[in-house]
Amino acid sequence: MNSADNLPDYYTLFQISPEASQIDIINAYRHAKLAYQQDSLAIYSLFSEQELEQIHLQVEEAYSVLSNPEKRRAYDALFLQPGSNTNQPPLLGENVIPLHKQTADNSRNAEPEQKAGESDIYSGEALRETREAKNITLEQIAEHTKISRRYLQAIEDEDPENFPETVYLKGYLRQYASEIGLDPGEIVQRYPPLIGQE
Amino acid sequence: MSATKPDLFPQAARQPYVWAVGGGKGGVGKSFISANLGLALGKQGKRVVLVDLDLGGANLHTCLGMSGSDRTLSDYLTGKISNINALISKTGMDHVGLISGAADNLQIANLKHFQKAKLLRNLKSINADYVILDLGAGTAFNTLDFFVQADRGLVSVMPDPTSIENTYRFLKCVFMRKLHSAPPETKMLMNKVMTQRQQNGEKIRSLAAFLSVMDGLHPEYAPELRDSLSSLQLHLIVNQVLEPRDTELGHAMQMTCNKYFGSDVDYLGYLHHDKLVLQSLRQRNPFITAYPQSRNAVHMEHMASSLMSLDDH
Repeated sequence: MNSADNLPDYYTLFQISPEASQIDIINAYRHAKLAYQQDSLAIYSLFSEQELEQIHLQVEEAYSVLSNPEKRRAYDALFLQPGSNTNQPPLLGENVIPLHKQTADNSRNAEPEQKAGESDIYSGEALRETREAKNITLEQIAEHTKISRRYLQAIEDEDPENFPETVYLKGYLRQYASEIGLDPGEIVQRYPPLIGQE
Repeated sequence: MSATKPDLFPQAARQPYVWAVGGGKGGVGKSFISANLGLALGKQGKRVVLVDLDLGGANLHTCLGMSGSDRTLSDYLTGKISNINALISKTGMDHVGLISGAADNLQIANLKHFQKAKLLRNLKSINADYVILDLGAGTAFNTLDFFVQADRGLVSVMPDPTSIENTYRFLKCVFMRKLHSAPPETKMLMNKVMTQRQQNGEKIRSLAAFLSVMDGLHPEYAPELRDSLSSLQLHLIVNQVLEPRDTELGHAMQMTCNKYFGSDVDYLGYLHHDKLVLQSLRQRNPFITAYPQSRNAVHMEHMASSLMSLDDH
């Protein structure tokens, strides 16, 4: 369903979390270079020469993406979205159909979506309107995504204080957005509490 | 073990944490680590029982400065003694007891299935806070099963290619043995996937590749396999470090393990190559008692504490 499933997991390769800083990334890259170099003890008997070559390419590629803020953002947007193959906490399996596709009554009320589309922000209020226009309740989303209703409410209330860390807000917002049929990557960039965060 | 507290109702007390010390190769310090980790825990007031499971090559008692024991595992396994707690002998160190390996019985090195099952079942009824299993070298099922079923598995590795090769071999067997406990239906699927050739005509070479193939083909089974594997709490100890760069080996192996096995292996710490170890053995004096100020003693105590803090949480 989405291209993220085929995306290599650079974070796991480097043994760092998706919140890793630039310095973490540089260190991880250095460690990976040492670990996988030709005469490294740590790889003895594990990989064939061909596999090793492939890993070297992956390491270089991972570094070239993660060390470049712009490329990294683009990668994160694809990679960290729900349904991708990361080990992010609440995952939507591929076989789970987002709510907006389930609700038969997709009554033609695209107005709020369009209204919001004109400005470059997408407020919590606009999210709520879109959701209501699609006849989806917060309970349904909570049930479906296993995200607590409290957090979903906080997303609509634009209340980032409710989240232990911004990454959770971001992750939940992505899932929330895809549940109501919006582009998660886009919403994350247009949601006011997250603007200017990176 | 305190003498004032008889082992009347061992199961009434909280069950002990079981840590197993293993590794593919002999001579990488499994007994040394078991003994001194146990003593380090004992020093912190924990009740510890060390179990010498290197059947046929038992010498944990020697690392503890003892000359053997009148009651050994073989008495238990042959049914001579029925209470596992009655096997525990004192080590001369407060709180630390030893269940000695069966050095006297030539048959016992080849544990029968029912004997293994009996022992596995009863490890948790040992009256202690921590039970440390010192396993033999190699990847026999008898060894693996103790390792896989322990709460934590510690793997000792030395910075040389033979040890590393055997360590990976050992880990591979551990993971496979763990997967073996999957339900029959899942196991059948796994066997199919593992023997099948991939689109590119090659067989699956690493566990990580196997898992990602399972993700694609049988997404409903893959998560349980991953969960099962990640329930293994594995820790690497790099032993007999000579050069500073050897200490990096642990980090590097942590990284490559994840790449190859698709599962996490934690790097616990390292120990230096130290002539004092040999000296303490010759003096029949356990290392951290003989040289409590040495850097290896400090490292051992540090490792014991960090493992303890993981269990306490």
